[in-house]
Amino acid sequence: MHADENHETDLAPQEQDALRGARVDYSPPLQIEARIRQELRRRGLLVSPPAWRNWRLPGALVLMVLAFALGIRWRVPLPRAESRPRFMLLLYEDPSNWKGTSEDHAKLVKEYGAWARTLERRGALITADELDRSATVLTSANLGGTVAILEQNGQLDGFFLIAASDESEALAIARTCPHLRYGGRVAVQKIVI
Amino acid sequence: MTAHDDLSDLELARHYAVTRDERVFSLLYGRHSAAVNGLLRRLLAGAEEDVKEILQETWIRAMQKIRNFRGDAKFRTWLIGIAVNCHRERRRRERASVHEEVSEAVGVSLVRAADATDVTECLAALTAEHREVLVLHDVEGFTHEEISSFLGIEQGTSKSRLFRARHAFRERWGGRRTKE
Repeated sequence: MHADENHETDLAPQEQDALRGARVDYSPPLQIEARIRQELRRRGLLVSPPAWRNWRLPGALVLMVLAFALGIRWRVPLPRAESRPRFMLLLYEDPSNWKGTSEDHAKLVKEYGAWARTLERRGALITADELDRSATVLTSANLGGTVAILEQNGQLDGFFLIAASDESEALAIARTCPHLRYGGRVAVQKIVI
Repeated sequence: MTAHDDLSDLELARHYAVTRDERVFSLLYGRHSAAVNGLLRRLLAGAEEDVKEILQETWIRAMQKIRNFRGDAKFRTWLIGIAVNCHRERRRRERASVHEEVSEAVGVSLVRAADATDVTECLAALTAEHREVLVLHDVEGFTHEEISSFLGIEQGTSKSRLFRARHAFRERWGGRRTKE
């Protein structure tokens, strides 16, 4: 081993920041979780809760109604993310507006990641990801070809799938998205089913 | 909110080892999958399909071996150790395939041609061995002791690899900064 190798070639502060900035958590796509559960079940590594436990929620509701009837205040647990309406936050930007360096991009990734973790902690985040700038567009007349997608709102950069109690909460969440501070647009669309 | 939400990872792991309870798996998955997925994306430099397959293999292996988790390290560290192992096994299999080696070499030269315009691309331009140790040490913050345990190598080997990996990273990152 080279004598200097024990010193591990100290990184410059900018290099350290750049590398630490690359540490971003990404929620895997929901299909992967479904695939993993399916495989675990197939191998006998996953057991669903006994059926009688499904009666716990209706049972609790009956008790709650009875409790209200008796004038007792009942603390209802917050609904789980999956049971609430879901909203897609689509992040657009005008590519010609982007004048930042790659360091700026690393900071943005970190900032967006921190925002995503905030959503995760409050139980609102389902999944999120950055999208590639080109896509293969299929139509009945044209069966392929990779092109850059530029929609009316600009370039679609990424998305956040969130759960919120209603549209106003989803909009309130969207208003805190760092994308808006950098001149981007955020479209909020409710998932129908 | 479930009755298990407040339990520690170790308590959940012990519970799962006995019950195979799906809700316990969901909690562990919810707590740690984003971090493991992020790490795999960096190790695999954007090979999305491989990331998905290794993430699946990681969770299946972890659930199979969960009785081995004693709480000596954090659950996430233990899980990442499994993910890194799955990744290395896959690389070993790919090395056996000439086709895969050619693909990897082409990928590296393409990234070089693009002048490695950001950290992710600089990482992608490194060899898999250099990227592995640089990501684990300088991005994820693991110690040489942990890395040597993940990779089954001596701590000295981990240090010398990091030395070379940092050199290789600096060449690309520094070159990029000079051009700016």
